Amino acid sequence: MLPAEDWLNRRYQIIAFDWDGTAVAGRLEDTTRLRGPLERLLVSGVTAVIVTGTKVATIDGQIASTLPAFAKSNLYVSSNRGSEIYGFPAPDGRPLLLHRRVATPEEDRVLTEVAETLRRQIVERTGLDLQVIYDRLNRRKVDLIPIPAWADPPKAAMPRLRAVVEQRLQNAGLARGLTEAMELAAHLVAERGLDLRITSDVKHIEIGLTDKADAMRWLLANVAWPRGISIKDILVLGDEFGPTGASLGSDARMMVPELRGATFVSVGSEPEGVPATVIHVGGGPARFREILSRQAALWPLELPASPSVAQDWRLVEEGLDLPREHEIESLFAVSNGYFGTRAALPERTRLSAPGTVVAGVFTRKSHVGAIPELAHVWQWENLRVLVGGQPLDAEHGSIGHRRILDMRNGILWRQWEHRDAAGRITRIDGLWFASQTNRHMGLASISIAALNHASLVRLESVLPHGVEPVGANGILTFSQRPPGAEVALAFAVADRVIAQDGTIVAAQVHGAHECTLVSWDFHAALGCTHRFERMMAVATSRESERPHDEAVQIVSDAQARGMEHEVRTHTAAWERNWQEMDLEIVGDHHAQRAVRFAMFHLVSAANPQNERVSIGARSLSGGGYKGHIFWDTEIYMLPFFLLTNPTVARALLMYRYHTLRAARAKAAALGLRGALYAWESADTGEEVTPPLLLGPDGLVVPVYSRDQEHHISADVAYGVWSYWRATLDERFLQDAGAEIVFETARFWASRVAHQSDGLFHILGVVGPDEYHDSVDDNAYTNVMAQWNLERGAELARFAEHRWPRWWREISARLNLAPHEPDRWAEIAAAMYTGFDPASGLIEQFRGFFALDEVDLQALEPRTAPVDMILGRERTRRSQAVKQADVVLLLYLLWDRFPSGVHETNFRYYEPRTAHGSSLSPSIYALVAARLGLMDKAEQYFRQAADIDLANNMGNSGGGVHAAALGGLWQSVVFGFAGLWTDGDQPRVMPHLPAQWSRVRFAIRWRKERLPMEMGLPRAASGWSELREATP
Amino acid sequence: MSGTVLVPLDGSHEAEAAVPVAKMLAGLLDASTQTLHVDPPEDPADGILFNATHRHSVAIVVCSHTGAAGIVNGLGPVASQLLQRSPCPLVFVPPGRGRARWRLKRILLPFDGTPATAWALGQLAPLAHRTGASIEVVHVVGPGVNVPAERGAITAPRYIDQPQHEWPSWTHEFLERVACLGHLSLPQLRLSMRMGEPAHEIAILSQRPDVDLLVLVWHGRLEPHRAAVLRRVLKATACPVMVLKIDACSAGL
Repeated sequence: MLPAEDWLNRRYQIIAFDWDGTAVAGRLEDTTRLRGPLERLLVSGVTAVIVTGTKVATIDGQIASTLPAFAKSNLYVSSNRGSEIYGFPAPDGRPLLLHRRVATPEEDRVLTEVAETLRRQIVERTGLDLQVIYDRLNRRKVDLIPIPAWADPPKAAMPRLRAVVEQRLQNAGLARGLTEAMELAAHLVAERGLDLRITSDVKHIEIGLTDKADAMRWLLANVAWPRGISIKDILVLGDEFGPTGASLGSDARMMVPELRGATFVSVGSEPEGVPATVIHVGGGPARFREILSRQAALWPLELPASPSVAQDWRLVEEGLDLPREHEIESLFAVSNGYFGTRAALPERTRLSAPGTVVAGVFTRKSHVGAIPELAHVWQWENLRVLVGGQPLDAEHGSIGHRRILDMRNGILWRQWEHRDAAGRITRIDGLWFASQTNRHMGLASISIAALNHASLVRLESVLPHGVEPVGANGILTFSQRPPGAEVALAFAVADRVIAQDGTIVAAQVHGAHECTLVSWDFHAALGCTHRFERMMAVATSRESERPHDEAVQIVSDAQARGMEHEVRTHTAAWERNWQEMDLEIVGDHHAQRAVRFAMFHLVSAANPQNERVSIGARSLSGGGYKGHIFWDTEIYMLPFFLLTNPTVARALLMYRYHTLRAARAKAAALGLRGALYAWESADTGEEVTPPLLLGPDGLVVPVYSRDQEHHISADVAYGVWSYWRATLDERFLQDAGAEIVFETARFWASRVAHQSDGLFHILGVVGPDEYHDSVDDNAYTNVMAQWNLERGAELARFAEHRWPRWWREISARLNLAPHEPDRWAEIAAAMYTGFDPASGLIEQFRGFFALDEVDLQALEPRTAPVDMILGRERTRRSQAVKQADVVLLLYLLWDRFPSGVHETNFRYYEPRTAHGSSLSPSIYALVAARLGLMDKAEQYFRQAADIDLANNMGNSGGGVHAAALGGLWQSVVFGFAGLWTDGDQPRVMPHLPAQWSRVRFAIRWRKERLPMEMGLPRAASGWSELREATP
Repeated sequence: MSGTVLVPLDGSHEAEAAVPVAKMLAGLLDASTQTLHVDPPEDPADGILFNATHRHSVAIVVCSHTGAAGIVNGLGPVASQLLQRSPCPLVFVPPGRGRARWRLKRILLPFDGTPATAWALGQLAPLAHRTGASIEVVHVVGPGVNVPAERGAITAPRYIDQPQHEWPSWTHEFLERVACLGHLSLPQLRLSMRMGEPAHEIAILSQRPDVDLLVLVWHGRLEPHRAAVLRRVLKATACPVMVLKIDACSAGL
């Protein structure tokens, strides 16, 4: 045990040390125990310099390559007796030569001459067999005992080696042995007037151009002085500072005059003592590790990042409000489009609903009528902390508890202080994130500090049954296949618990029948911190033939890079996301935070690299809606991606392309042609809407959306067309988009009914207003179908002219008759729309105007949806509208309607709309803003913003409302900012709330990035070309 | 024995309606039944409350009224005082119930969705666990009903995007909160959602013959315009009513 001396309790900025004999006993020694403290010091900002006579490859293989890349930017190796300096810069952390002393031909000749002369002189006097070793950089070595038994003596054998060499030389006639041999060498150098360095490791006499002094001088000139590091903040460690018979120990060379005031410490045996300025502690490599650990422990064990402080960039939940726990878990969830994890407390509460889902991985229960739902997989964030055998429990004993969703950096934070029944206060800080740099990865870093106690602490985490260790780096792996799932999942996990002194706490793996428990036991000293790190990777058989190997490789690579690197690259990726998409609202913090929350969750739900999945109604933040995909994606979410990250938009539309077969099958099952997309779809695109609904009143009713809500086909086509217009991505159109447009147009052509009025009608549908089923000629459905037919015909004509060969191919493949596009145009031209030019009103469906009027305001305040209050039949007979229907149509196809129609219909439908859907308020906000009805616009904007943030639906526990979030973004961009993308050139006509002094954002439009800004001084009413707003 | 179930009797025939309920409750709660005859001139309520405190009563079971005089909100003068001052749960037994044997198979539990109400149900938990009784959680919604202002309250969602998903998950969430915060067993619970004015709806339900016990959670205030449900139910009920006061200390962390 080291004494508590002042020199040891100071933090040094630079620690330089000899390798052989000081840090390790030999070059084959395992350095696992050294790695932890050294990494801790490096990550804390301490510069470490390994000074060695050997090659850098030896040091790299023995220690440097085992350190994470991020940690090594402060590591240097001086190899070849001070002739070379290597660094290990990011990002890969491989050795990089920074400096090399290159001998001139004359210097090489002189080195050889001196070595050969020395060898000859000793041989002449002793008759011994000596050899000169030439293959060393800038030096020659005269081997005094070139016999196999002493080919590579370890440091521990030095006393014996010294005795053997001395005896060998003296018996052969060199009376003073090694001392006399060194004197001969010194004489040879002196008589030539050369500045050569003569050293000895007993076996050899070395004559060279450099020694460890050169390493120290390089360090001073290139690290210490440029960084302003004081000499007293430098610690130099070695094992040979004292004389070794004939000469000074090799480490004494490090004591250059410029280092006067530094601390020199020897851990060697130093049989002949040490210089007065050297502290001799002895103990060898074990003592060296102890010193390093003590140094590491002086540095705080901090988490690799800290949360954003700006209020607009974060959500904060203070305390633990158990009833709201499900909601908080959704709002604070972290996901990256590949997987998502709810923000359940790692140790769980009574009301925890933890969950991790992988996008597109659905489970199918075996009972008849079972609906596929997103599979819940291993909850990788689970962790229990026990202090003195008692588990810490947030429900009892929390004296401070805060969760922060850092939207800027995409990180979930937890800050928790807990006092147990014995009065022990433990502080736990943690971060969790779903990596944006490798979407297969989830990472956590948690610090545990004993604030007023010293106790035995245990960490426990549960893994599934069947865990297998892989390799030597502590990686565990296992497989999961959710019941009925098409794909298998493979997980790899690398955990590490680090003490403040850098010691790695060993894990215990306890296998059990149903699960595996991994635990770590350590003694938490008063005020000291331990850090738990978890790197998790999940891969599936969907994207890899060997998901197990892929997961292991991902984690293994991340281990090599280190947690700090993973955090840094993840936050950098989020920074890039925000640079691309951020929407700034100056003057309204509530609105700003709400819009950022929307963008954060939308980006978190999306994966541009996977075109086989789409975004479910509740994203990856909860199990609500079973992960199913609705029209929400194309109408409410897609516009955000279209204009901020078109690659994501493309991937989402490709999901619809890949599910065309199922859409064709659904249409065919109804005796129709073309593609009818499922109202709810999962991985295959087949219809997965539950056929029946059990209401809270105990009544079972059919789910009409399943069989009647057909507008989704036009919605998908609308998404395709919007993408095409925003990107002019011809390849997408040819490869996938056109086929969707043609097949949906073909569906409508077969779906319409030609009636005696000479018009085409669509009978028996449900529109966006789902309070009214089995209606005829829902305006939204009809006009969207009309639009779809027109686009089909237009695209066919365009393709025939522009891409004749492609047109011939796809016509043949889809069996498109030559007259079909013309027929689509004819049907569109004669489509019944419900528009009355006289009144300017659009009848939501045939007979709507004759329904009973209902005063929705009279039902306020209310604690139930309007259809429940009125009852099903009365609702159907009334003009109560569930959500934006005609008003949504007006927004999507604004220019189809004459001026004035928009406001007429807005004013008509607004008092009749119950907003019984989260999709409704944002559209009303948008249209009201376009019409300049600012009070209404702001009212509905606030309503939309609060859907999740205030949980005013009472159901955010099942996940955030992704479509409402997309709608909120649209309400700002297309409503308040007044962006119009109907022409080739986007234009704006803003109507900003008075409180918003400025709005800034940028859009992607046909490969250009168009920044825009609006606000005070208020733009005059009227159109502005977007380019004019460009800075 | 972990306490007493106190049964105040005033010598009237009606008062004895409390006895079978008290005996059954005592058995279920591992408590002893303690009958208490309070004679004038002592204030009966003072005597009952003194005994309840000093005998660590786990409940007071009392006939809601034994005569026609002084009845307010369905309670006689003594029961009214007990309602306001009792240190433990109260069970009011309608005098018309008589001395027939009492069973506890079905509990009716009106729940307004507030955490404070749910926390108070912890007082019911031992009884519910011991009997395994079916607990029908009644939530009354509708026009004219304000959303509870209490943070963390849950009521029927104002918006239902897709009812086929929304209602099952909301129902589960609603009952899970009751179970978790009230320390009740989720499988024992089922939801009954009613539309209308809460006091009226619950009063109607309290007359159902299959209900053995109605449990009301009360904030402890009887000023005008408050405790509408309590007032109405106590007047209308045909079954014993357990009143649990919200304990500020147990409401939340």
